[in-house]
Amino acid sequence: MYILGADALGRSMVARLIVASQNTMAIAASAVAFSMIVGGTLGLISGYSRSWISGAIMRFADIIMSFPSLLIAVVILYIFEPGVFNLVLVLGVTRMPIYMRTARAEVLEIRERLFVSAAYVMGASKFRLIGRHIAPLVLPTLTTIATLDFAFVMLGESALSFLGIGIQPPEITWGLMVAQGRNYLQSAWWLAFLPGLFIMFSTLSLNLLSGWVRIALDPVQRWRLEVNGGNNE
Amino acid sequence: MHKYLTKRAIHSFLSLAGLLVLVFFLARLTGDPGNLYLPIDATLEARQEFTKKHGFDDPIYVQFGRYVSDLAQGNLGDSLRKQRPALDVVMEAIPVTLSLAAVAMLVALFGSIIVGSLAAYRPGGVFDRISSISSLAGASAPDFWVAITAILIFSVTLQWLPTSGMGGPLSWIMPIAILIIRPFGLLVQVVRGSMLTVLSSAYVKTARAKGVKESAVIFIHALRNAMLPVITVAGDQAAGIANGAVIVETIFGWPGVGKLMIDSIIQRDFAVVQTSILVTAIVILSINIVVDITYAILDPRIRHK
Amino acid sequence: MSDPKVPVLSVRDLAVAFHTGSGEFDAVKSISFDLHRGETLAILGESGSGKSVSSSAIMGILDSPPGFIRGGTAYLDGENLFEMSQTARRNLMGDKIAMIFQDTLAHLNPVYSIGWQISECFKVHRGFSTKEAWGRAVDLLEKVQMPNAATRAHDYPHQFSGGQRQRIMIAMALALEPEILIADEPTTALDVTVQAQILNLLIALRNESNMGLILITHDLGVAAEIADRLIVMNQGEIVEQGLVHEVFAKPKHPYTQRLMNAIPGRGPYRDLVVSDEIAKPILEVRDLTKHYAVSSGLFSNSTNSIVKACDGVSFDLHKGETLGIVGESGSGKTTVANMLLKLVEPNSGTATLDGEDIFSVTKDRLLLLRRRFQAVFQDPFASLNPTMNVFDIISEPWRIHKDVMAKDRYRQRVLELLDAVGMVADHIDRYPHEFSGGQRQRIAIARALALQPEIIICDEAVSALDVSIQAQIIKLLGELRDEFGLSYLFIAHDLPVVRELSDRVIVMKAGNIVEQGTVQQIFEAPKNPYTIDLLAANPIPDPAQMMARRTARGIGI
Repeated sequence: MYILGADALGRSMVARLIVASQNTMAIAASAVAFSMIVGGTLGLISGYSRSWISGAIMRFADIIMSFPSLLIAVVILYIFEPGVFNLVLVLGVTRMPIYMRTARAEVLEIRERLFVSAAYVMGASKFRLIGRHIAPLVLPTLTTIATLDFAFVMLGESALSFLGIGIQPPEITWGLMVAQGRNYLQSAWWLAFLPGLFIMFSTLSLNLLSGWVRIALDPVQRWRLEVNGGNNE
Repeated sequence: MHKYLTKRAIHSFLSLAGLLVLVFFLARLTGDPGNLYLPIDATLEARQEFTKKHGFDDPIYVQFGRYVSDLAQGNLGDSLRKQRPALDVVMEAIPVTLSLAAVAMLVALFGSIIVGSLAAYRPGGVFDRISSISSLAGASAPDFWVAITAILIFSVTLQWLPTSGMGGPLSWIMPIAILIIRPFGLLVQVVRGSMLTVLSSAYVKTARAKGVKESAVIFIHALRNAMLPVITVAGDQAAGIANGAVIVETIFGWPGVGKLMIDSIIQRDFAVVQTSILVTAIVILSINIVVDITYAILDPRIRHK
Repeated sequence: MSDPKVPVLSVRDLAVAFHTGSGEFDAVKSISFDLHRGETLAILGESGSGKSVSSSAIMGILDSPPGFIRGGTAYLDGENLFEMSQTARRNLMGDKIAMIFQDTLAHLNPVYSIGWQISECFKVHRGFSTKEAWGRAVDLLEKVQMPNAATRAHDYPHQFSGGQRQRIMIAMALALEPEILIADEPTTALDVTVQAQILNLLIALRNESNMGLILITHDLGVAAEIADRLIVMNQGEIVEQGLVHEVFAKPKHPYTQRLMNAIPGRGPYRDLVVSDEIAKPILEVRDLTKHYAVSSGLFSNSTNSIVKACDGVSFDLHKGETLGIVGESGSGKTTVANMLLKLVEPNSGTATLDGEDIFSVTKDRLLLLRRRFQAVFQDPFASLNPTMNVFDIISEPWRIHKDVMAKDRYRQRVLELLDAVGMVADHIDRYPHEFSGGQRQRIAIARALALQPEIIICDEAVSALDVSIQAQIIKLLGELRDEFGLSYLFIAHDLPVVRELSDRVIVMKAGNIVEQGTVQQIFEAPKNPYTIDLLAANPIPDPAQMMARRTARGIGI
């Protein structure tokens, strides 16, 4: 239990790292799910609708995009209470624009494809066109982004927790562990170092994974994986 | 081109207006604005007087009108902590952050163009693999953690660099280095990807079929095209740098806007928080407009829209 | 200059392969040919024949990786291109050997002016000053008959039309008077009248400079029109080569014979007897009009010009009849189709189907009317949803029109439809990417037939297909029409295809009908000057007619 030592209050480092990983992952997963579902839906609507709603949704995305997400999060968490629910909400909202923009761009392209016209000519309703013909083609792209975004959200959460406006003690996440360990930098450097290392390895793995997913999904690029796999020195 | 730029400027202005409205309503969502503007231990009388003085008992649209007209006059309230106009306090901090961000952005942009182009020239080569992994690691590393690890190594253990404070050239090294890690890592990947796409494009093929030298193919035919997405991402990174500045300034104790905001939040100085947000927003929107102009200069297709 | 008997380019045993997901694929398997000065050699083949890959390999612009040269030699003036140093080869490229491409927008650099791009040739190979090179570039633009060459040299590629861009590419390729010009499908994306101009320009320039011209094409007409010798490629191999008129007159290889037989527009004219029963049209289109406002003002309220995409078009369609609509790009033929399919709203006009105007009926009523007219689109790769299998695709019309068929009958009926379009039952659970272009178009036709419509609107339905596949689909469409008594509105830019299938033909230009009549009237005795031009510009893959036209152009044989 104490392979990696203990913190200032004598709590096992290993145990705390594990509990923190659960919290970090759960918060990141919920935030990503939130932004993918809400952002993706808004993007689909914005791409399909030809009315003013489309423009309004994109301006909304612009507003969120234009301002530093950390600053927005800081202000919102200052005004409201910094709790798990608000944290997820803030992280989710600040990451929404990427889904909105991507989904919209994809829809704008896909809706012009002939099979959508073909379905329309058959008399397909709006819901069928979006649900059966457009959304299934947008989903893989959004999933790829979500993998990458998971890493980004983890970094965002840990930064907020580090600044003291994310998760509040006695709850624990990796970011908060780095913040708490900072006070013992000279006597017990690993208290801050290890949780940070964990964050980096997790985000790095996610980044690599998303890169491979993207290549594997692209028929034009797929040969690279196979050729490299074939004659790996 | 004018049409395009005007449209973009209008969008920027709308974004700013949207943020103003957002801040106004957020500040009033919590119920009693006195909670935000006054010290926590303020007496009931002080609160009532505050509410009356600032007209917080007026209808919301009257309050909004006053908010807008105050903004137009540059009146953003007083800092509770320093007892002077919040705008003055923020304007003192702005140059620190701007110089930090400008140096970081320039280093990140030029560095990433060189590294990314070299990596794209031989995809799968040794240089590409090393730069890909290290730029990914850079984009994945939590900056606050890198910062305290760097302090641990370079300041505490080796005692080469100062732990904190803004001073001589040595004090700039760590903050700049920490600040560029993320944008640099991201930009290297964008440059590489964009360069790869452009290098396999048909017009690069045409240039090669014309017998143009490889160096000219890359730096004349490909680079200008490859820069287009890079500039957009670099513009978006202006917001990312501001995020990084909050962390770096807090950890290294630089008197910039990021530290000012965090300090003001801890001391519940809402007027300063609000002003910081608005000033930062204006700076970022100005950067966006510069990015749009650069884009239009580089791409004739935008110019003729 | 050199001995005319010695070929300027001599390719021996060239083999090119690609890395793919399932191992290496041989795109070109050991081909050999010669090119002489002043000669036009056409390399003819369908998609996947390796015709473009071989020229990319010679040019040194193969996508590598994944492509690589497996073996062979290519001697240019006695030097092997594949063995010389990179620098030596680069010095030849653009100077002695040049290339032009099909997709001119993609092949010109979007961020540099065309004058800059042309003058670069002189700077790279001749060390000219910027000013001198620019002057030469303007001269070249004049030579390829670019109007206002001096001013337009400052413009960017996106500001030109497709035909003009091809002239720019030609100017760039011919800047240094190369010995060899490789033209890779140079006119495929262009309208026939523009195609004729570009081909004439190429031939005039070839005659002037005595260069060797390699013309890569899928179009037998184009090959017959300007080539001296012909190479026919199929699946990476040369199956036949010889003088053009000989190959056309007596194709020896079975593949060439199949190809020649597939050429559309040579059978007897169709002649539909309009009996009393079908005298009343099933679709009456009257004064169909669509104008687009093109705005350039800042707040887009000030409209500067109006594009009349369709300007008062009227016609009738009878039962069992095929009405062909021909025209070049911008003629409005596709706008007509899109309006009838309700993909585009007309400004005014009516389209009456059994007394009901499809533009003014209620939404519910329209859904019922839609069962009676269906569509087959141009690109079979794009018209099928890649995430749905064949069963889902063909049965989708019934899922939309729920009362047409009980769910338990779907599978049986899909199998019947697959059979009707010449597909087999095994195909039912597969996805579109597993099929070839021709098969996909069959699936699209089966889907159009699912609701048992009376009218099928075919918008360029065979244009994206190879000649031999095209012939099969045209045959299928004809059989289905006769079997089910279908009426087709057959929209195409390709005259022979229209001639093959239509009873009556409408010729459109700039949103108007310029001429209409029976297919025989239009093709044998056109009255309108535009129709006459259109027919004249259309390359005819027929040795006898070809000879007369070649003599007129001064090509000789």
